[in-house]
Amino acid sequence: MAGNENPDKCKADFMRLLDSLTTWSGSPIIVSCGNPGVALASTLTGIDWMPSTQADFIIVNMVRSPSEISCYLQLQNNIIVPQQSPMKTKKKLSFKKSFNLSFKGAPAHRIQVANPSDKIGVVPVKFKGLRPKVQVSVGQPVRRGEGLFYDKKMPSVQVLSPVTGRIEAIHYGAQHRLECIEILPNDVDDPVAFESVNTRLLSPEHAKSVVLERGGWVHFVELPFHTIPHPESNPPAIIVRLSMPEPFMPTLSVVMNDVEDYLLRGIKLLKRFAPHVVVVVDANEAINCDAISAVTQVVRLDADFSYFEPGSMIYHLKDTPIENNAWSCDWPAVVQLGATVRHRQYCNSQWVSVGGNQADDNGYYKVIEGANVSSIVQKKTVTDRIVFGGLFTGIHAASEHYLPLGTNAINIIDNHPHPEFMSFLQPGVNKPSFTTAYLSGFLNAFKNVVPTSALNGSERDCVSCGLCETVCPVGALPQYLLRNVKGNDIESAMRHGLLDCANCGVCTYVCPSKIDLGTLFIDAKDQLHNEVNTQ
Amino acid sequence: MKWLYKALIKQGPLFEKGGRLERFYPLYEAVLTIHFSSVNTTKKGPHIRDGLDTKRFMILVVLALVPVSIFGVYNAGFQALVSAGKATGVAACFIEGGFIFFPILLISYAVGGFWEVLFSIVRRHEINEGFLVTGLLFPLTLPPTIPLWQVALGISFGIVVGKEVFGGTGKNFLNPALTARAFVYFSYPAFLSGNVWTKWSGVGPVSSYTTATPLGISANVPQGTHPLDALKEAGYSLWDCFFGLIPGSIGETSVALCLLGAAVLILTGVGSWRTMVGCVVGAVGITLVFNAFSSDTTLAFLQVPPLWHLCIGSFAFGVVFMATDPVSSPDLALSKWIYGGFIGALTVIIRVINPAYPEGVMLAILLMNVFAPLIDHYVSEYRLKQRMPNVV
Repeated sequence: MAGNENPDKCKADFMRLLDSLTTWSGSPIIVSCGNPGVALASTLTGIDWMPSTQADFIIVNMVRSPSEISCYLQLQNNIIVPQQSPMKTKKKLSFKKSFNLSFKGAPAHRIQVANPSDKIGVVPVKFKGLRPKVQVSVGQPVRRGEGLFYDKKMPSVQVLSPVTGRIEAIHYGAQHRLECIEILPNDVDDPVAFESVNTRLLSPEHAKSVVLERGGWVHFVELPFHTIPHPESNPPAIIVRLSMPEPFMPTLSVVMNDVEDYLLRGIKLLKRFAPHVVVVVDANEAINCDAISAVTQVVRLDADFSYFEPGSMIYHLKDTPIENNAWSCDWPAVVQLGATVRHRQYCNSQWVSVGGNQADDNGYYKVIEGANVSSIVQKKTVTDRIVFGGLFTGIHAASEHYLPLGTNAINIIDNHPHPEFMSFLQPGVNKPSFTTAYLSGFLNAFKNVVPTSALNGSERDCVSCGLCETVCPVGALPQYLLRNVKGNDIESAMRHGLLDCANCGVCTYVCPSKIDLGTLFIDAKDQLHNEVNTQ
Repeated sequence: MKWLYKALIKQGPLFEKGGRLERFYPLYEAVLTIHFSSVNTTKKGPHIRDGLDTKRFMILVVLALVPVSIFGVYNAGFQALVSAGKATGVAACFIEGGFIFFPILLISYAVGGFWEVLFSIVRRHEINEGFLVTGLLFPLTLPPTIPLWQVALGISFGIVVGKEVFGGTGKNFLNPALTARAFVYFSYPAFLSGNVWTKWSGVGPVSSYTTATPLGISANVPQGTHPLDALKEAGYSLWDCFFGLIPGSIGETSVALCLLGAAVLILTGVGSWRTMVGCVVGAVGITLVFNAFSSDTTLAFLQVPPLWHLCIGSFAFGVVFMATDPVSSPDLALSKWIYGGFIGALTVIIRVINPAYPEGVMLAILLMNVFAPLIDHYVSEYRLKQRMPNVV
């Protein structure tokens, strides 16, 4: 069924296929729409959206261009026999570890309750593409679970207040963008009560509205631009990460006993509107997934941490280009969603892991969302750097007062490199490097090295050493992407896999020319995203 | 060393933005970072970085070149003393060789460094450590008899036309050291054509002495004579060529020490073993073809067996140190095999078929440098076919 030459004929073919499939299967069809595919969506209204718990949905993903329609129509065998595709059946994946590094300062496996925070700060810095419209004013009282702000373009996407209290201050940054809402908590908690829902009986639309209402939507990330998905779009798949092996992120196994019930509820809720939820677990982490695998597909992954990034996962799991628009979300968000549904009130507690070189307070802390950082951990010296998130993908927040929303890790590293005399001539027994350019590479001594923010060199032009290519988890050629992006040739960059880039940052880590490839690619993707969205 | 660091840092404001010597910042940066590791920190993105930087990367190549260079000094002295009929003590050889090699090296570094600094000041980029390698590689490819003014001209051409006009290390498509040598080779063929290889620096009746290199002998064997007989007659065995105590360019003669250099480059991950093995495979393959078609009525050079081809001339030196230059060689693993294979094959073809150019490896590498982007293009297109599209 070639459709390239005639879009109208293609649409007609597509509709006929849907009709025939409905008659043939007798079971409902879910049409999930890719993000920019709105033009065709209107022609497809009237399709039966009724879900059924008897499984065997037929997933026909909305497509965006005539050529993709034809591509999809050609895949109709796959639609009828979905069990054949690896995306739906993979249980275990392993990849050669090319980037085997271990750093000192992993969080100790003990849970503590942090000191109560005198003030709470809601910092939305992590949510890409969110344009907050503040709906509260200074001095106004808020209850736990009440909306603080929503997105200007998607008003149903909102962020709720984690505590009951009074708005103390609202800080804006450049271009009047919201930086932080400070709340002074009351002694008496008065949470908003949500209605009770039975996850078994929810329609997809209802399930989505539950997530939106309970403030969980901001934690979804839509690929390939890592933005918050539009509430009206449907995910081709949702990747749920139970393991984040990046140094140093919280390990689910430490708190699994406390959260398993919530996790299951959260995943069941996701299943209501996402026909395909893939749970990714590190094969080396001791998590009992029996209960989860009864609900949805669990993939055990044995690979470098960069393979756990959602972009890498979808790159290795996808069957069709439509799955490039998959969503992802991490276990803390799913747990929070599950807890919120279970207790019918906004769950404001979260875990945060503290790692880095501060051995004495490394560990897990149970805190209130938006807690004051100083209530959890103290900088030992003024030159220390606080990283919110992992050492590779974490943020270096300008304000280090409050834990930004959606961050589950604090890492503190030394930010004060010491100049070494003629260091490039030294044998380098203790030099951190994953290459064999120093003796450390042969002695295998590079275990448990203290992470610092030292650049270990200065920026130079790319010398095509090819190290980035050997570590890239999505098989892209970062040095080609670099040339394409610098030469403003986005078309070629996309062909070489710019949109597959998982933002893991490993290419930047290994680059001997100290080129910040990761940031370059992220900026290029953001620019592309803006161009696509303003068209 | 704290005092030196403090003294250097104290001069910083002079060279930084707004300082009186702002234009010379690259020079200051180079002096500072050669002495002390950088104190730059990451800004965002990955907060930690690998310990390997381009300084280490380049210095490892220099390190791999050290055995070849030391032996080159000794051998240059040894050959000079032999041809002058003097005693060849180890110390005497080193002293004699030092007098030959170090002026060349000094000129190469001084003139090359001058251009590097000039361009970095005018174009406001940092001084790249790549010229440390180029400045050492170039003298090693030269015969001891080379006039110093030719060294200066050659390195100027190599650095300026081979590298800087394209934007400096990383943006050049030709190997700068080989570009320099090619310039001298084609401009002053009398000095590099293959036969005048030894030099006696002392005062006396013999100021330069003509000996034929194994390559020169093989290329000039008359039809009907087996080249191995001619080589034996001239007193060269395969082991002589392997260990390298024979006349030739300063750094190229010892295959054994080139192998040592190759080991260093491969173990440290700086040089590509794929390129090196590809070169050898290509050379051996084409030589076997030549051997199969050779007879008494064909070119005599066709009969030289593969092992000899690998050991004579600057094949080993070129393959290990020149062909593996990451900037001018292709990026992808498969491309490196193709690139290496062609270098090996072309080297032997140029040597054997074209008697005007007895040394083919330089031309083969330069030619393949030009083709490297094309090879990469087709290999990457092939890779892209297996990639599921992800576009908007």
